[in-house]
Amino acid sequence: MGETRKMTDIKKLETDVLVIGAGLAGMRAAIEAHDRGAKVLMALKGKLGKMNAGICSYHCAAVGPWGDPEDSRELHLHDVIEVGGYLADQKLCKIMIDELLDRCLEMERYGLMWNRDEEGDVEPYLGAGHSKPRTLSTWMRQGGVDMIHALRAEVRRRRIRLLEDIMVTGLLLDDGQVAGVCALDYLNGEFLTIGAKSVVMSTGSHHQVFPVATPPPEGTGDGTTAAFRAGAELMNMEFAIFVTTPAYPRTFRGILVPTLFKVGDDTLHILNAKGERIMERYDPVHLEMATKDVIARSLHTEIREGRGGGEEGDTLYADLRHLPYQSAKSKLADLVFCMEKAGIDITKELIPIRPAVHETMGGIRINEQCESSVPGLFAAGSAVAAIYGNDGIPGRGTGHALVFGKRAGEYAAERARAKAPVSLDRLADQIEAERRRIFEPLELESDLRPIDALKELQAIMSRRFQTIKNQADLEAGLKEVLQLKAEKEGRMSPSSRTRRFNLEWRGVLEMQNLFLIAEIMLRTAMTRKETRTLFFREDYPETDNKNWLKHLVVRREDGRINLEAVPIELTYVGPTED
Amino acid sequence: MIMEKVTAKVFRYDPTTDAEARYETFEVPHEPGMRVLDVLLYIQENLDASLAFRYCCRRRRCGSCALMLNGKPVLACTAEAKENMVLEPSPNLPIIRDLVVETAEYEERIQEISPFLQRDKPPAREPEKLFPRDFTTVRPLNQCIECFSCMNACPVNGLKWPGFAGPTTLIQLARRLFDPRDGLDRLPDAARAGFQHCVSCYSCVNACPVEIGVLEGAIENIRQKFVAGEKKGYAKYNQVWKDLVVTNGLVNPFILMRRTSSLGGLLSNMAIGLRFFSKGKISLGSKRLNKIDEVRLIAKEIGEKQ
Repeated sequence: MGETRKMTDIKKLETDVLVIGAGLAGMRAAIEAHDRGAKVLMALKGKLGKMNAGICSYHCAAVGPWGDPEDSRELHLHDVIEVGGYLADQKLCKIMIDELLDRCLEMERYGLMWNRDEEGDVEPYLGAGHSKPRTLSTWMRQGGVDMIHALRAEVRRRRIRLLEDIMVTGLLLDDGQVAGVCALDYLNGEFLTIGAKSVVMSTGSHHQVFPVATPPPEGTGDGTTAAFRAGAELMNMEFAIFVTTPAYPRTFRGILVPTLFKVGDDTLHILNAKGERIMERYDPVHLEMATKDVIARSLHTEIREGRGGGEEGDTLYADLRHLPYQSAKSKLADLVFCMEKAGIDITKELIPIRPAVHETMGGIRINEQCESSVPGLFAAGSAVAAIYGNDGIPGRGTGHALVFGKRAGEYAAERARAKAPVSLDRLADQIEAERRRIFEPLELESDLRPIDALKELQAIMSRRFQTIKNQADLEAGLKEVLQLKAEKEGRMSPSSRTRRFNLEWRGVLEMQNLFLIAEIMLRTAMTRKETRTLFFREDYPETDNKNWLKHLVVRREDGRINLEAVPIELTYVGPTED
Repeated sequence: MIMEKVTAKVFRYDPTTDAEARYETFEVPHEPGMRVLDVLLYIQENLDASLAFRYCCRRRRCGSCALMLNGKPVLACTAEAKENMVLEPSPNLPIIRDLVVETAEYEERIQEISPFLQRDKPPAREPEKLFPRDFTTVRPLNQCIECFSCMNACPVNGLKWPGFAGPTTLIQLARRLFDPRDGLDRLPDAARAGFQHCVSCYSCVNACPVEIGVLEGAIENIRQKFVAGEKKGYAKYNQVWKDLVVTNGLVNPFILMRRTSSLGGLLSNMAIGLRFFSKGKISLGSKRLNKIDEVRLIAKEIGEKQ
């Protein structure tokens, strides 16, 4: 039937501002654009408030009428830039820090309650990497769903129109400007176009190129790759934060095993297969409170030098036995709950843990107005190239999402107000080409399945793009990815031809995005020939401020991936010495 | 005995192509600590990639993977994989495909009760003083993930009767009603949501994966608020309920309705009443519990304590 579908069958929608994705940033953008009078549509993969990384976020850092009176925004800015290895976009960081207080207070207007002491005052804590206590958390510093639910309530208050179970597949450009998008409604198996004066990409990160990640499985870089294909610049694609998560069962492999996290006066301990507390070897002073780069490198080194356990030798062990049970249970609630479900008694047994990815830092490069290099295309949240560099301090993800979510909504609405309604009529060729691309997998006779391609791609990335990198690994990885892509792309089809909620069909389209992401990540990591905080090149072990105080900007030119190293403006803070 | 494999009989249905639903049985190797979600992912990756289900956070935060395991509502991410399993979609909702259901109706019910903080006026200064002790009722309710497990378990919700919006809706209402910052009179919404039709069976409490005391934390608190506020009709409802318990030891729904409803209310419920009556589920007479003296003794003691 797909072959006979005509342009007239296409479902056509139109709006002023289209927000794609509905995590913290997307919801905040939609709220802002709506309040500024724009007609807003939200298109999301999944259901509102359920498919995003914000579902687990519960803290945000801001200098405010709390904490230490000596604290200042300058100090906060300094902390953020330092932790990010001076790779921050300092102008954007300044904006973030200046607007964080408003965003945090506003969350309480939205129904959230930041943790209070018995006197009724906001009680911040000292987050790792922060020089002053300014990190706010929801109730009793326990993780929860409060932040995402506060924003969801505001979306519901405004009855903003939702398009759920939609995968946006590509941007439509009219004379170099965004005119809308093409999308697959995978619930009903329908192709649709959405005409929009402004588009906000808040589609999250692209951690699905790795086999195990803490954020949700929807993170396939759909927005980032759509932006790239439309000509937008990407940045920071070489960076990813590695952590550890429980080794089994698979369901619980997404739960962070936190270091840098006090439980009472102590932390959990990390042991190797011999039962040695590994941080005694690498940082006997700070132990599990050492900086994140030291910990990440230590974990990987233990595994590489053969002191890991488990079948693949990549298992280490989290020891919670010495911690008071009740405080471990309240502070590490997810971990303890899930391990007990899995039959592990944390007061007597060790938790086997293995490497996983926590955050990919790359994404769309934006300016102060959250605009990408393509007019009309805005971005916010994890779809944006992390403004803080290649590492962030606790509360940065939420703060970033709220501040730039709000700004994206604001400027997207402003642009929409000044613009005449878009017409997609003259883009019929673009639309038809995208329609064909989307429906092709259903018409193809093939036994290549997206799930197998995904597993193979993830295996390559897990082998070649590790915490500690080198040229040979990255080159081999790139070769393997390109070979896999040549074998699979355009040849995969779902095992069922149904159009109704066919996740394999969606999977074929996602694979095209993931191949591109993996290629860009490997190419950029290969290009950055230095070591800087969480980015380790064992063949270039020194931080090279002379040559590499730069952003790697990626853009598409003549169908190719073009890399450019752009010097960083040290507007406010610079490295103290080389 | 170590379990080597688990057997999952899985509900399959594609409304666009299948005349009727069927069950398919899959054998999956068991692994330590295995969850139901692990079984589903194994099937999807190794046995049948076309299986449709939802999941996301993998730690009972998003509530997307709610389904029925051997007839009981669970989250696939937390429920333990059993040796023999029947996996079915949530009941009472249209099926999208396989284990995926259309939850729009439940979401609309929540939308109806104004599920957001509505203040009379903004606080004089920000941040305002807020005392944790004033939020002890609301805090657990705020943890509701809208997985609808309680809706799946609730026998009254299962009647698909428009007068009862179901436990999830009542939780969402209660979390605003008991938020000291909220200024909206939410009792009319609570009445429209039909809190008084809850039969206090605790099915919702048993089903809740995030351990919210749905009944005592939300529904009973709403009831109390009505009694305290002497809201027309509902205080009377509670009084009649109590009188019936003390007099008969049983609550005859017919008598309860007769004494509390207006003529219009009685007429609107006539159809369901007749249906129950014809099936022998309610009687018109006043049956009395054998050990009614003991019930009265308990009632007396409670009365003295209060």
